[in-house]
Parts: sequence; structure tokens; C-alpha cells
Amino acid sequence: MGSERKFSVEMVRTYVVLSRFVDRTSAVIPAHDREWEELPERRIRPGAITTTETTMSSLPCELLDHIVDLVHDGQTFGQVPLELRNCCLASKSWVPRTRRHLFAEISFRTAKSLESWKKTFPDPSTSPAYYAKYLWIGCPQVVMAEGAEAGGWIASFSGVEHLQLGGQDVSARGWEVVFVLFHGFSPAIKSLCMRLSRLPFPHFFDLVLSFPLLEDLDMGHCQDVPTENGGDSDGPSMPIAVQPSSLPVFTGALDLHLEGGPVGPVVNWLLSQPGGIHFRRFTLSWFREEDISLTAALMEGCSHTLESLYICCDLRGTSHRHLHPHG
Amino acid sequence: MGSLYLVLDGPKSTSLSLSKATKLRDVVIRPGSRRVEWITVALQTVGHEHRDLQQISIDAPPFLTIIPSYIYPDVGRAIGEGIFGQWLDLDRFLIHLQESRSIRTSAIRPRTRSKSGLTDCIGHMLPEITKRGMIELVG
Repeated sequence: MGSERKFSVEMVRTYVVLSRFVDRTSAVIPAHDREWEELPERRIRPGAITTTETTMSSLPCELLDHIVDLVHDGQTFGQVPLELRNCCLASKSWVPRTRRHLFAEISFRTAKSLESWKKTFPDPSTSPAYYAKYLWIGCPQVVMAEGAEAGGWIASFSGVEHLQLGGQDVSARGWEVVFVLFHGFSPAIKSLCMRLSRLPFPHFFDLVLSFPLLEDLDMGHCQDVPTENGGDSDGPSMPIAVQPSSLPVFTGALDLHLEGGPVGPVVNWLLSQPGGIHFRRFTLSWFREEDISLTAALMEGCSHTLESLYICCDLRGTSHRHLHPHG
Repeated sequence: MGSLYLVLDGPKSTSLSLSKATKLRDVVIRPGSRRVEWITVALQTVGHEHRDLQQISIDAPPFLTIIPSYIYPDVGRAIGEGIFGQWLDLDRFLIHLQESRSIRTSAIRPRTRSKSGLTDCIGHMLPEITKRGMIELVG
């Protein structure tokens, strides 16, 4: 496999060199590697047909796909290989397959990154958002401030399978707005990861149920205890959206790490689902004595499917002991 | 007077039962505190119907990372004989599970401990299973 990948990388390099040679004679603009918002593929003149492309199009699609996949396999964490970026230069026919890798994981950690995306791809319908499988929203305040306007670009991520929402200093009312905007935005969602400071229950449950293929649920870092309606009084609550006819069956992993947060309502809600829960993996943290009985209830609910159990006992304060090792 | 260490206790008891989760393949437990009686009690609910259970891992509790190595030989007195007795009970029960059910045991190294440090540490907390070479050190 290593030599096969090496060959693919060399092949891409060769074709990029060829394409740059053709660039000088056919006015296709050469490019350099920059940030994703300045990807070289965007510099290729639309409609430009190169001799390289003609040559590449004679290769079977499966082979092209395999070559690009092999180039992608050399990716180290957080770094897109130069060769993968260059695949967009090799031939226009390589662009869709390359985009699947280049845009597979999209993270909007800050308002700046989200603004950059929207500036680069002003038309959501033609943006590469469709290729994203993993979406991380770390700037919920921006989404909240945009309100309904955010619906356009959110909807363009309709192929996302893994969604992570996180952020501090957001009110329960703010999360309600975010949850409504993300409600059912991608029917392909398989895993939902929440790193929230507050948890407005009805809308959270509503969001979870809007993803019929949801398998994994991961919740952590909830720091305070909201009330049933979200714990805030900063405006009327957002209306609950209509749920799809098909509901998730929860067949993957459940990760609960709610320090200072309300585990009970989440567990009780899960156990009350009409279709039951069928998790195969638990990762559960205990912060209070009552978390133990909730774990027992969850295990009872998934007794026929549970294969892997990770218990992290982090109970505090039952007693303190000072050790005097040398008397 | 020697150094002063603060150690937090865990649950005094638990009713966690694994008896109905008969599809379990692996169990990882991170004690998080000195008390491990609840782990032994929970593992005692593993029965012959747990045919798929292959591995039980003990994630080294954080308090082990703050105990200096020179205290290991006297760890029983350092953490309290009663608590240390709970670890010895766990030690014996893990051996029993491995001998009677072929369920492997492993210990996961804390980030701040070297592998040799973990060996020393676990060697004193779970002495018999370590002595027999029946515990795999991971991490």
C-alpha cells in the first residue's frame, strides 16, 4: 500500500507539472497553496480544457478515485497534503473527488472562520458544503445573531454525518435559536456531540429527534443546572418544530460527561423513547452519587445491546483525607 | 513531618450491576478515587452468561499520579489500610476472573506516569496479579 501511495503522489506531481506547463500556453492560471478559502482549484479558469485533462479523462473513474484516496491517506492530523491540494490542478475531472477529502471536515471555531467561508462561498447552493461529513460549530453567538439568515448556509451542509456544537457564554435562549436553525438540517446525521454551558431541554430533545439516523450521542461540559424551560427569562421560548415521522433508534455510543449538569432528565428522556434505546457503547462519568443509579437504569435499558462500558468515577467531596507518609 | 497529600474519596457503595448486560465485550473502569470496593462488587455480578466478555481494564486513578514512588512500599499506610484492603480484594477477584473465565485484565497508564512508573505503582496496588504477570500495562 505504501508503494502504491508513493506512486500516486508522484503521479499527481507529474500531472501538476504538466498542467503548469500547459498553463503557460493555454492561459490556465497557476496557483500556489494557501488557506482553504484560497484553494488553487478556485483559480482555474472555468471551462478551461487542458491537454492534461484530456489525458486524465481517458483513465477510468475508479482508478482516478483510487489515486486521490491514496493521496489523502497520507494526510497527517490537521494537515492537508500538498499533493491533495494539487489534485485540483491536475484536472477538472479530479475536483469532485478531491473536494470530498478537502472539505470533509469543516470547523467554524470562530466568527472569523465562518465569515471567511461565507465570503469565499457567497452562494450556498454552489459551495462545497455538500462534501462536508463533519461540522463543528464553535461560534454559536454568530449563528444566533444571524437568526433565520443562517438557515441558508446551514442547509447547504446537508450531507453532514457528524455535528459538534459547542461554546460558552450562550444563554439557554440563544441555544434554543441555534437548535431550531439546525433542526433536521442534515438527514444524514449519525452522531451529535454537544459541549454546551446550558441545555434548554425541550429544544435539545427536539433537535435530537430531528435526526432519524442518529446513532451516537455525546454530551459534556454542562456547567449549570437549567430549569425545564431552559433556565433563562430573556424572551419567549422558541416554538418546538414538527418532528419527522422516523425517529432515531440510538444504536451507537452514548457519552455523558455532565459535570454539574442535569444527567437525570437526559437519561429519563432517553429511557422514555417509544422505540427504546439500543446503544452498544457507554462512556459515562459519575460526578454525583445519583449518577450511579442512572447508569444502572441505562444499562438496564440497553442490556441486550451493550458491548462496551467505560465508567469514569469522578465523585468529589464525600470526605477528605490528609496523608502523612512519614508519620 | 513528611509531605502532605490530599486525596478525595469516591463512592462508599454502589448498586451497579452488570448482570443483565450479557453482551458486554469489554469494561473499562476509572476509579477516580481511592475506593474500589464498588468495582469489585460490580464485577462480582459478572456471570457465566457473559460469554463475550474478554477484557476488564482499570484506568489508573488520578491519585496514583501524585503519590511519589518512594511511598509505594508503604502505600497501605499512606492511603489507609481499609482502602488498601479494597485494592487487595480487587486484586484477588481479577485473578479469579482470569483463571475461571479467561477474562484478561489490563491497567491503563496515567499520562504523567512512565510505563515503569505504572508497573511500580500497579505492582503495589494490585500486587498478586502483577506478580503473576496476568495484567497487561497499556498506554
